[in-house]
Amino acid sequence: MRHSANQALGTRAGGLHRRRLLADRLATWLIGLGGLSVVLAILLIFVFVGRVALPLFQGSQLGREQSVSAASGTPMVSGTDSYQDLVWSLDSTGVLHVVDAVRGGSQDLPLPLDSLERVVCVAQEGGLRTDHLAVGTDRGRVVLASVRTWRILEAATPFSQAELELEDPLAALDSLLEEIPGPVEGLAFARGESAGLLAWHGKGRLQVAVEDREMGQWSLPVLPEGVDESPVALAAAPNGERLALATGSGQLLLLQVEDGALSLVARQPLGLSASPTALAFLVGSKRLVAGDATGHLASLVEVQGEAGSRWIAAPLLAAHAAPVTRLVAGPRDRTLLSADAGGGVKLHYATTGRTLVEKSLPGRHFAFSPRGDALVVAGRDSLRRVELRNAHPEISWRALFGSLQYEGYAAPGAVWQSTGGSDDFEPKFSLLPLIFGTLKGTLFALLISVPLALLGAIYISQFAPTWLARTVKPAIEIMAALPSVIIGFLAGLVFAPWLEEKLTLVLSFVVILPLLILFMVPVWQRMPGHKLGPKGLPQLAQGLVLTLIAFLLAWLVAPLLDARLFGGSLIQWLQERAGVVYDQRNSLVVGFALGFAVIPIIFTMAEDALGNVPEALVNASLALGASRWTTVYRVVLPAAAAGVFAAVMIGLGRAIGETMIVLMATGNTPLLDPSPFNGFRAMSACIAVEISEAPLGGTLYRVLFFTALLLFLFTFAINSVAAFIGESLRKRHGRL
Amino acid sequence: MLEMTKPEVTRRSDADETMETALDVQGVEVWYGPSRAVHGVSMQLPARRVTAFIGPSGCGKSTLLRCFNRMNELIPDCRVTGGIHIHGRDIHAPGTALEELRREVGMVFQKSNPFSKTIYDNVAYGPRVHGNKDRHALDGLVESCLKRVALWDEVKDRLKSSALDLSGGQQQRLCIARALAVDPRVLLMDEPASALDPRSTGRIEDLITELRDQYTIVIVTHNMQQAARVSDFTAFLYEGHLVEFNETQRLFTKPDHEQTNDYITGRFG
Ligand SMILES: Nc1ncnc2c1ncn2[C@@H]1O[C@H](COP(=O)(O)OP(=O)(O)OP(=O)(O)O)[C@@H](O)[C@H]1O
Ligand SMILES: [Mg+2]
Repeated sequence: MRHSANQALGTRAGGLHRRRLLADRLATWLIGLGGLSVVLAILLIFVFVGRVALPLFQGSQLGREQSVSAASGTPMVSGTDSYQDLVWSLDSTGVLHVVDAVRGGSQDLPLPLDSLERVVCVAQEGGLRTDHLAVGTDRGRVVLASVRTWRILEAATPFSQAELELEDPLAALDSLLEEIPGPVEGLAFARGESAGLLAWHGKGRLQVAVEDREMGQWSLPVLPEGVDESPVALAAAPNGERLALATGSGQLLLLQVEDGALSLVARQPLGLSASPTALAFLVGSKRLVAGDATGHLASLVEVQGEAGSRWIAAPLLAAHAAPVTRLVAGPRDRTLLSADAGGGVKLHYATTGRTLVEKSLPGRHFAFSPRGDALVVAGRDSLRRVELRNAHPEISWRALFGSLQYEGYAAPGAVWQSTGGSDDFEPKFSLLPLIFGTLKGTLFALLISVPLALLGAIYISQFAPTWLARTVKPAIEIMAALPSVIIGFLAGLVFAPWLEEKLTLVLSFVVILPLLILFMVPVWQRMPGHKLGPKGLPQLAQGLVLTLIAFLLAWLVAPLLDARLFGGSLIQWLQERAGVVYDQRNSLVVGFALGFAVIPIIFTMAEDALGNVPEALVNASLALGASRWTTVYRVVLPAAAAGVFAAVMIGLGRAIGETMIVLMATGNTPLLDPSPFNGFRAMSACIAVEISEAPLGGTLYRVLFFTALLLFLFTFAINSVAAFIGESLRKRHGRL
Repeated sequence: MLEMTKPEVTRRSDADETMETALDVQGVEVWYGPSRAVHGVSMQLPARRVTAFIGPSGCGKSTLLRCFNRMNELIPDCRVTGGIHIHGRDIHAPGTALEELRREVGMVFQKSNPFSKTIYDNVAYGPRVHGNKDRHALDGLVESCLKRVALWDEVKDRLKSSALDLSGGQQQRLCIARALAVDPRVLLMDEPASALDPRSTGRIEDLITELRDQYTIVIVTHNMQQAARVSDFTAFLYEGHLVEFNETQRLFTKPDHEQTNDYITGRFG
């Protein structure tokens, strides 16, 4: 009996035990799983964001090489259409070979030349119009022709067709033309929005014809004085408004077309030691690159000087080992191809000076596909197409985090300007202004929120009567519940205009209040019967009265300051005397608004930490005769240091990531200026503003993802540092 | 309930040539909001003697003790009336600096509460707060205070390590040393040994015996033997009333009041 009862008890206890163990395990498991899935989710986000951003840094590559035909003759120029259905080259006999890369076969389209007339040089227009050709012959003739292609989409596999379109505007000028007594030695051709330009020379004679695009009329302006008429290289800017000539002595002459007239705007050394061999403008017409017989490249950029624009040396481009034979500008961006006599080819990005690709690709002529995703290489015996992956040539560490000399800027700078008005706009992706903006906003927010929140937390947890603490704490927690859109909206539309109007008042209040407190404290201490202990209303009333007095003083002083010191308006005075521009939506506004959003976070956490300091420690200190304040900063603050620090760090993290407020309360101008009176653009706001307009997979899109990644790393780093410091503080002061 | 007879300390002090009064308590009442925790207590505690407060739990011993350094003011809704003079000075007089009062009247709590600072900094805390910044003087002071609580030999090699690494008994002695460091005249101890083992308790009692010549000590205790061992005078409180205040020996052998007798013989409480 006894025995079996014991056994039953044993099994029942065993079952219970097992069940408990199981529940225990299950709980451990579930908790572990939950934690793990959070970590996993964060990791996944990180990986996803990283994967979108990664292609920015994968560089450019030349891919598969495909021979489309064994070309006959000497190719003078080549090209392809946007779909790369057709690849064409023009040989020196004036026959255009069009190879159909889709269906096979080819087509020969001859130029109307005399039987023994030979093509000796060809110029292409720039940008996306490289299929517009100017062809110079050994008879001194220049023929304008374009390779027109169109796509047949109705076919099962779409294919393209081409025709050669002739244009002979010069016929109209025949009477004006002074014959060039020999072969055309050099040629430049471009057409922009409003102007076209064609220049050719031979036997010491230079001819420049300019076109009024609106009228469709060509004319022959007079060459300015002192222009060398036998340049060794010449190039026309894609906008059709300027002509660059390189002389044998390495001088650059820049001619500007204005109202059909030519003027010499610059004459300066190119910065090459040997005789120039090639010259090319890049898209945008504000960058110019020259190559010389020793293989060196010189890059120039038009910048804004005090007296108009001037051209200065841009970042060096990697030199070749053999003489430079050809420079080809990319169709869409600042990519440049340079080829040397030894068959070496390099792709550069002119803005950054970075070498994108280096490869041996022997050929006589090189062309980019209109989309910039392939090269056409025309040699004496082959016509080849080479895939090119060059999606983000503008990105380099220097572009993202350094300063660059951009077109039209007075000096090198770290600039964020992702989109522009026109296609030939030079994108500027420096993240420095955005990082700076984020830090600036955060700094101002913390400058305002940390002292207020911490002092508030100290007051409420250590000095305030219970009824006050019970009212203030929920009120501040409600502050945290306010959507940041509303804070941003109020800051931008209500507070910013008000601050602009009352700037002197606000600033003088901010200065007067602490001074007044500093002045009053000793006065109060001398007053007989003052109490330092927490006594509720009287103490609070003192603070309120002081604030009111400070405000009144500021209200009295501000108009006086404005009238006497600032000549009526502080903002005007700032602008005129100190050169400080006052934007309505400025960093101060953001500081207040963002500070307002951060205060409840810091306050609540700090108040908790301070309130959790054991009363026994406070009593021990007070019983030793320490004053309330001494106790607070010698005992309470050190004991709560980890929590208070964590509170500030969490506030910092919130300020860094905050989007809506910085978006709405600043002008979002990506400046690198510490002045509190102008705006900034924060990383988060920039992402919010621009992501919707960034083409999927484009450079801007990926750069924004990269910015997000940085932001993520920022907050991650801050939290890690916070955790680390918090832990060591806890070790030092914690263990309560 | 009971009209307390004035303890006749003065009568006894005729024998003692220097029986000066350290704490003069006159009709002290303490209210926690609407409820009265101490009812009109009056007594004169002699200087440089140990006085023990005994009585059942909740009778107001701690409350009364906290009146002497005005720690009751930290409790919201707590109100103290009546007169308390310490060495002739009214502690409620307007203009009294709390800091000065508490420096003069030190306190040791039931549960040891060292700061999470080093042993050295714990002892030096009070002097530093009162403006003593001289390293040499502090070094000497720390050493002498630790010696006085017989802790010096145990900690002299690790003055810079955390006070929280000490044992409970050591921590309590450290707290006493910390209280001594500001050189008080009166030392209030609220059940200083109640959380300690007998050995540590013994050491605290020895300590009190050693300190009795220099300090006026008021100790709250539940331990009747302890009260009998360490104190010169004993006050028995019951439900907020002072029932009897007498020489310890007298109170424990031949109490004037029935209630006292019942309590010390363990018939209630
Ligand atoms: N902070 C407080 N608020 C309200 N009432 C209190 C407070 N502290 C003590 N009391 C009440 O005052 C009375 C006396 O308490 P006190 O702590 O002085 O007793 P005690 O004699 O020290 O008891 P013990 O021996 O248990 O420590 C008790 O009835 C208690 O409930
Ligand atoms: Mg008690």
